[in-house]
Amino acid sequence: MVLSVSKYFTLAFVDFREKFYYFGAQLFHAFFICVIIFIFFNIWKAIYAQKAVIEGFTFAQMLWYVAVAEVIVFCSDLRWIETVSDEIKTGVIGITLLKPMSYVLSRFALFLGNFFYKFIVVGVVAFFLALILAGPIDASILSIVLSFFSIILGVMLNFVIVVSLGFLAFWLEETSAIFWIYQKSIFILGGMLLPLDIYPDWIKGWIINLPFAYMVYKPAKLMIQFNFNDFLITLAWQFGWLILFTVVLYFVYTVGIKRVQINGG
Amino acid sequence: MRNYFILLCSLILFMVPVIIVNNLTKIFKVKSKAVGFFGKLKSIILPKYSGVIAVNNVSFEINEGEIVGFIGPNGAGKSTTLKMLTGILFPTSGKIDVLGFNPHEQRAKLAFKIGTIFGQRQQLLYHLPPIDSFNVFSKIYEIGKAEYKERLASLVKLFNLERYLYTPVRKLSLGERMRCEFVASVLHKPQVLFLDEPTIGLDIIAKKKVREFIKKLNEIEKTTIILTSHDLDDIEELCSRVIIINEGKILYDGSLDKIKKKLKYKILDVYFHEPLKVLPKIPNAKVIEQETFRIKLQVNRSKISVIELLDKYFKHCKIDDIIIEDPPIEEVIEQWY
Amino acid sequence: MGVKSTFVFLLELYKREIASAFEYRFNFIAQTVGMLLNDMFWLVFWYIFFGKFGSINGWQFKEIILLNAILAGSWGLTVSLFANWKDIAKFIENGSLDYYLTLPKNVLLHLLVKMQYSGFGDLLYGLGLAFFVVPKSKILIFAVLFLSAAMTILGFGILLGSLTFYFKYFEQIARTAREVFLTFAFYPFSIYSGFTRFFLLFIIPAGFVGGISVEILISFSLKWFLIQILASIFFLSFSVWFFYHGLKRYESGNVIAMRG
Repeated sequence: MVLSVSKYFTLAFVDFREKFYYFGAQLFHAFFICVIIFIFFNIWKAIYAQKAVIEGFTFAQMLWYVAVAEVIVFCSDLRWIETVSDEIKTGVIGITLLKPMSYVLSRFALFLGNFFYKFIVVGVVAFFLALILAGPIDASILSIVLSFFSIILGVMLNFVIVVSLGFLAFWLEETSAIFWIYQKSIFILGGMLLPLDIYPDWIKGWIINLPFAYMVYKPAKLMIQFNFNDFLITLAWQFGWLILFTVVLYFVYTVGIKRVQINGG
Repeated sequence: MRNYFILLCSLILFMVPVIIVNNLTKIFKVKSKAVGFFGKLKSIILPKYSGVIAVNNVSFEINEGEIVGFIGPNGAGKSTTLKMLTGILFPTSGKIDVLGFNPHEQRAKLAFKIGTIFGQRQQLLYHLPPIDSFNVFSKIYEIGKAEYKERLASLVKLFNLERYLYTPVRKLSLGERMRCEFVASVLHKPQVLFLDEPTIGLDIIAKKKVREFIKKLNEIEKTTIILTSHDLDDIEELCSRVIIINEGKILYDGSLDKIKKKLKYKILDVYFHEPLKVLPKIPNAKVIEQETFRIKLQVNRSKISVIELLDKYFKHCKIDDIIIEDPPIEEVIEQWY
Repeated sequence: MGVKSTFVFLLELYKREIASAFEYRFNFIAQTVGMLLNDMFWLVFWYIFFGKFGSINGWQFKEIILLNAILAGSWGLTVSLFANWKDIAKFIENGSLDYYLTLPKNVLLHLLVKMQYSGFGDLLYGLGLAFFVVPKSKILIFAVLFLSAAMTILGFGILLGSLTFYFKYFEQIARTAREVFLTFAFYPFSIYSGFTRFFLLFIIPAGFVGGISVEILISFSLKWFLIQILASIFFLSFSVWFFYHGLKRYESGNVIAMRG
C-alpha cells in the first residue's frame, strides 16, 4: 500500500544517515545561530536594564524565546520552496510517480528528517548557550515534551504551505519573490524576531489569526511559559490550520501533477 | 479449424503481449511566441496555443521477453512514448495496456510491476553503501523480508556485487555504480523494464557492463525490456527488434537484421603491400579514405559485388589485408529518417 | 603597472560590466528593486521595535536609520563595484585564480572587479536614507565615513579570502565569517561594551562599518573620527599586502597540493 508508514520512515532514516557526511556544515550553522542569540542577549540586556518584566516576559524567558524561535525557523528549511519548484521543473516529480510512493509523503518524511538532523546540532548548541547566558527557566519535563509536540505540528504546517508555495513558484516562474515574502512573513508575522506580545495591540489582534503565528510564536511561547489551557487552544488552532492547508495542498498537488502529466513539465 | 485452434493456443501460451498500444497520440500545447510590444501584452491576457504533435497515431505490441529498442532523432517522440507507457504522461488519445493496466489511471498498481532507469538520474545515495539504498527500495516496493533477502542474494551473486555491496557509492567506479543502479531498479522483480538512454554519458567499460546486465536479466528472468538509445551499439548488441520513430510516427517496426539486409552498401578496406601509384576510376564505388598503402571504398552492392570489384580493379596489386564491413548503422538508419 | 594604466584598465573592466548590465537590464532592475525592498523590510521591524522601547542604550530609531544608511550604502558600493570580494576563497580553491595570474594585469584588482546588481539596491537605499537623515552640515563627514566603511568591508573580504592561501577548505569558514561580520554590524552598536566592543572593532571590524560612524555623526569626536579613518585604511592596506604575500606562497607551489 502506498500509504504504509515503514517505507517513509526508512526513507527519512537513511537520508538522515546520508546527510551525516555533511555534518561539519551544521557546526557552522550552529555557530551562526549562537551569534544571533548573543546579539539579542545584548539587546535585551540593555532593554531589561530598566524593567524586570516586559509583556509578561522576564529577561531569561525573552532570551530563551529568541533561542527557541531561531532554532525552529532555521531547522524548518524554508528553502524547500525552491527545492520543490526545481523538482517540478527538472521532472524529478515525474520520476517519483514511477515508484509506488507518494511524492508529498516522501517529501514530508525527508523534511521532518531534515528538521531533526539540524536540530540535534543546532538545537543542542543553542540550548547550552541560552543556559549559559540566561540561566535555566521554569519548565517541567512534561511541558517541554508537550511544547515540542506543538513545535512539530508547526513544522508540519510549515511543510504543507511550503510545498504549495513550491508549486505556485513553479507556475509563476518566480521563486525568489515568493520565498522572500514567505520568509519575511515568518520573521515578522510569525514572531521570530519579536514575540507577538511586544507588538501594539491592534497589530497583534489580526496577526494572531494568521497561520504564521502557529509555526513559531505559539509553540515557542509554550516552551517558555507553559500553560495547559494555552496548549490546548494552540493545538486546536494548529490542527485547524493544518487541516485547511493540507486540503489546499491536496488540490494544488492534484491539479499540479495533472498538469505535469499533460504538459510534461 | 483444428490447426487454427492449435495456432491460437500456441500464440496465447508463447507470445503473451505485455504491452499493447493502439492509435496513441500525444499533442503538446505550446504557447505561441508573440512578437512586438502589443503582441506580448496580448499574449499575457489571451495566450494563443498551438499544438505540437509529439506522438502521432502510433500502434505496436510487445511480447514478453522481448528486448525492443526505440530509435530516432532527438524530439522524435521516443521519450514521450516511454513516459506514456509508464504512466507519467497522459496521452491525448489512443489506448495503452501495460501488463493489463491502463498506465495513467492505474499508475500506482503498475509501479509495483515495472522498473525504470532514466538516463543520468542517480537513485543510489552517494555517501552510503549500495546495500542501504537497496534496503530503502525494498521498503518502497514492499518486498517481504525473507523474499528480499533471497532476491538480494541471487542478484548479488548473479552480478558479482559481493565485493562492494558495503562500499560507499562515491568510492565505486562508474561501471560498478551502474550495475548497482540497475540492481536497485530490478529488486522488486519487475516484469517490464523501461530504460531511457541507459548508457548515456558512460565510458566504454561501463557501457559494456550495462549491456551485459540487460542481456543477463532478460535471459534469466525473461524481463521484457524497452529501451531508447542514441548509441546504436546498444541497439545492435541488445535488441532483436527495433522501432524507428521520427516526428512522432513509426517508420519501421521489425528486426534489426532486416534493416541490415536492406543495405545497399558494403565498406571495403584494402591494405596494399606497395603504395598504389594510380588509383583506377571505379564506377559504383566511392572512395571514403585514401592513404599511401590503403584505400577504403563504399561499394554499391546492387551494382557490383565486392569480389568482382577486387578482381576487376586490383587483380595485379599485392594485397596485404582486406576488411569487409557493414556501413555504420547510423547511415543505415538515416535512410529511414 | 603605473597608476594611469591601472586606471585605464579599470575603466575598461567597468565598461564591460556596464554593457553586460544593460544587456540584462530587466534582471538588473529586478535585483536592484528586490534588494531595496529587502532592506526596507528591516526598517519596519525597527520601527515596531523602537515604537515599543524608545531606545536601546541611547540608540533610537534615528540612529538605526543612520546605521542603515552607512552600512547598506557602503555594502552596496563594495558589492556593486567589487562583487568578487566574497569569492576570493572560491577562486583560489578551484584554481580560477590561475587565469588572472597569467595575465599582465594587476591580479587583485582584476579579480575583484565585477558588478552585482543587487548592490545597487543597497546603494540606493543607503544614499536615499542619507538624503533624509543626514543634516547638510555633516554631509562631508558622512561621505568620508561612508568610504571608510566601504574600505573596511573590502579589506575584510580580501583578508578572509587570502587566508585560503594558508588554510585548506577555508571557503566555508570565510562564508560564515562574512555572515557573522554583517550580522554584528547590523544591530545597534550601543549594546556592546568592554571586551565585546573591542573585539568587534579590532578583531572582527564590524564596528567600523557603521557602529562607530553613527556615534561620530551624532556627537562628533575627533579621536574616533581619526581612529575610524586610520583603522579602515590600515585594514585595507594590510589585507592587500596579505593577499600578495599569500600569492607569493601560492605561486611558489606550496599550495598546489590543495588543488590536486
